[in-house]
Parts: sequence; structure tokens; C-alpha cells
Amino acid sequence: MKPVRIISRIDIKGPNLVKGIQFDGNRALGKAEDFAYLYYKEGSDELIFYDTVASLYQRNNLLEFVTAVSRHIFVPLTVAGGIRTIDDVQHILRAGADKVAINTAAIHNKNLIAEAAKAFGSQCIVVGIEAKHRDEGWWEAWVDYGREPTGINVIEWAKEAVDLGAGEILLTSIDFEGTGHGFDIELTARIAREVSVPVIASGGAGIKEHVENVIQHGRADAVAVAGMFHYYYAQPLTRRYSASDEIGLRMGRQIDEGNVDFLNLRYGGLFEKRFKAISITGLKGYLNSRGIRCRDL
Amino acid sequence: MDKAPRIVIVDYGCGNLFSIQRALLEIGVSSLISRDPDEIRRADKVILPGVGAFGTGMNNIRSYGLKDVIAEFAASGKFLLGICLGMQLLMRESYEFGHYEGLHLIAGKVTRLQEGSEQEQIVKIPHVGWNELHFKSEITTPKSSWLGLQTGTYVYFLHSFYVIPDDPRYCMASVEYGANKFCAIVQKNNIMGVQFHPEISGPTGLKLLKNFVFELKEENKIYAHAG
Repeated sequence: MKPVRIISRIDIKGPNLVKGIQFDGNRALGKAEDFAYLYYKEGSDELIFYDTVASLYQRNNLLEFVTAVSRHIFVPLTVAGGIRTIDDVQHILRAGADKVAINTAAIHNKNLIAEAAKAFGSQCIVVGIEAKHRDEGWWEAWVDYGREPTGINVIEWAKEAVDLGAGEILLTSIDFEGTGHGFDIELTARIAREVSVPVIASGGAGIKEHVENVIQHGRADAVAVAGMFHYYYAQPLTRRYSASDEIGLRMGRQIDEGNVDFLNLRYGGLFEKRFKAISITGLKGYLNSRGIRCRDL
Repeated sequence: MDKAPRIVIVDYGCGNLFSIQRALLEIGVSSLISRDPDEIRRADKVILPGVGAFGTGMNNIRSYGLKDVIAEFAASGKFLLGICLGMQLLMRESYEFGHYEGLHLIAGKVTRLQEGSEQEQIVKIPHVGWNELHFKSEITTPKSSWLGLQTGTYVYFLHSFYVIPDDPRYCMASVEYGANKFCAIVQKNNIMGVQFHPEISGPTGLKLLKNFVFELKEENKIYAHAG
């Protein structure tokens, strides 16, 4: 079996890493920059930065952020959110990103994928697909950070996006995202079978077995993990990670925007039950022990 | 103290120039991104980066008048490192969307990875991800390395095409990807090429770049008399 990539997904609002449930109710967990450096050092194979307020401002707000972090992080960086034009793609790549993920604009203007792939190469064009399961037995593509339905069937859309020149598919299940209940295995497997490019499964990991399942049964080529890592590295009361004090990742510290009360209250215990927080090396060690290869440092 | 080596990253309009420059800065080396023939001649070492299509890359190299100056630099015996497309351009020819002539610094060709499935796992193209290098036993031992890399080292790949040197001795290390077993590191004398991206291969990639800048000596010119 070929090695899989374990990717840290960092959703960003202002200076902060935020975490929500099903794209809603975002909470600030700490400074996004601090998490980015730590995840690189801890062995994350790639990082995805998602601008959660891009559709609100009609643009991607991560240029300065990417310029700063790319100076000291030397694994592939993907930027998502609010990328609408060829110029946007160029600016983000110039700032230091290795890839861009395009969702909303790709659906509204399919030529953008073809043009961007032609100008910069398919290898740096990721098409982000946010999927919601419909009772009728199909999955619908949503846009604007999970806010707007489109009526488009995600499996058809994934195939079309690849034909247009997408080099990877970043697949997020809106139903599962942030719930800690696991990935949408059926959806991931369907798309992984249908398209010739790598599929990154995102949204839903609560325990390490979920990651294993989406690789074994969902046939994901890469997995994006958010909450499981965030809750490990940003612990408010315990000190599982000894260096966390030093770089100020502890919850509630260095947060200058957003709702932080819940951090100190530990979600009222809600997430303690669903998420089994784990370090990046811990997750990779587990996967290796299950016969799934991934890079060790 | 020795003067810092002059490193030129060749700018032919295709590439990950800045990420390589940032990686060099991280290891304490300032470098010049340039397409000025005189700067390339004056360089102690040259990096030929590259992302994108072979045909476009060669066309740009020709239109900027860089083909001869790169050949001249290679003939000078100073070390040249091609990265990804930059490695592929070192070859004689490519079959990427047509047939194109390369820089011909190493005899060999560029061809596409094979799709298909292996143990029910679909082999995806482009090949994106971290893979372990397998060095030939005579290149590295548990005590020696190739610019800090050894068998088992993970590096990051992002490509659909790969090189086949005519003389397999020029292939230092290979990688298995599905049914493909492709050359990941090529070297002939002072000409080196890597299919992966050291600038985004984490601490391992930085180590390679550091060794390329500071540690290379005459004895690193492997197979100086071969072929």
C-alpha cells in the first residue's frame, strides 16, 4: 500500500485558529500561526489553511498570513477560501502557498479551473468539494463555507473538475464535519473510485480509528484532520504537550478575538466524549501499526 | 572564514523559485533568482527549479537564451541541481504532450507514470505524496549518505512524469509508486537532479539543500568516468 498523507487543517478567522461544528458555531482555539509552526514541527505532511470568512469579505484574507508562515514551514501549504480569479491564484502562490483549493468560484465559473491549471499546472489546483447527503440518496455540492446549496451532484462535479484540470480533490462532508462521528466513508469511496486524481478526505475525525477507516474503506489518498489534533495541542487544563506553554498554544492565551469562554469550560464536557485527542506522531504511529504507511520524521 | 557560496536559482518563468529561496534562507544561505547569463557564469552552484510542462519550460529556456549558458555552467564542473521539472529538463528528450528536446546534460528520456490499480488501491496521477527513497547499495550505506539522504528517507513528490536515464548507473535512488518504479535521484559527475521537492520535504529536504550548498566536493562527482 502506498503511503498516505496526514494533513492538518487549520480554519482561520482573524488571527485565530477556529473550530466549528458542521461549518457553524466557530470557536477560537488560539493563534493560527502558532498552530501552523507546531504542526509542521510535529510532522504534519501538509497544511491546509482555510479562510472561514472569505465569502463574507468576497476575498481571501490569508495573504499576509501565508507570507509569514511560509518563511519557516517547509511542507506543502494549501490555501482555501475566497479564491475567485486567476490573479487570486497567482497572489496566493506568490505569497508562498504551494497549492490553492477552489470551491465556490470553481462551481460558478468552471473555466477558472481550466485556466488556473493551464497557467500554473494541475499539481497546484485543488478543487474543494463540500458535500451534503440528501435523503433521496445523493450528495449535493454546497458552497460559501457550507452555507449555500447548489443542486449539483458532487460525484458528477468531481469527475468534471478533474476533466477540467483539478490535480486533487479536497472532499469535506458537511454532515460529518466537526462532529467527531467519523468520515462519510461511502461518499469518499465513491469519489475515490470515480476520479483519477488523489482525494483528501476531510471532516469528521473524532478517534484514530475513523482515520484508519477512511483510508482502508474510503480509499482516501490523504486525510485532513482538525479537531483531534487541535484538542490535543490546545489543552486548557492539562499539560500533555510539554512545549505548549513555551509557544503559547494553551487555550485562552494569546487570543484577541472570538469567543473563548467555552475553552475554559471545556465545551461543558461535550467534546470530551466525542473526540479522543491525539498527537500527529501518535496518529501516524497508530496507522503504521495497522499496516498503513505514512512518513516518519 | 570562507566566502559564502554564490547560489543562483535560474528564473525561466516556471517555478517554485521563492520556496527554494526561502528554504535556502532557512539554512542561512542567501541566493539570487536570476536569468542573467553573467550571474549564472559567476555562480558557485546553480539550482534549476521547475514546475509545469516540459515543452513550456524548454521554450522559455531557449527564448531567454539560457540553453547555452546552462550547458556552459555544466561543462565547468561546478555543481548543478535540477528539481522536479528542472531534473527532467536535464535529459535528452521528453514525451510530455508531444516530443521535445531537452538540455541533454544526461542521456535519457522523460515519460509518463502508469495509471492502474495495485491490490485494489487505485494508482492516482499526478503522484502526490511522501515516499521512501531506495538507494542503490553502492551509493549509501548505514554510515554514508547521499547529501544526507538514505534508503528509507521520506521525501515529497508532486509529478506525473519521470526520467529514465539511458545508463542506469546514473540513477542513484528510486521510488516505488503502484506499478511504477521510477528514478528519484539522478547524478552524472557534477550534474544532479531530484524528482521530489527538497524545499517542501521538511527537515530532510533542508538537509539536502544544506549539503548541496556547503558539503559538496570533488569526490562527490559520482561516476566521473562512466559513460
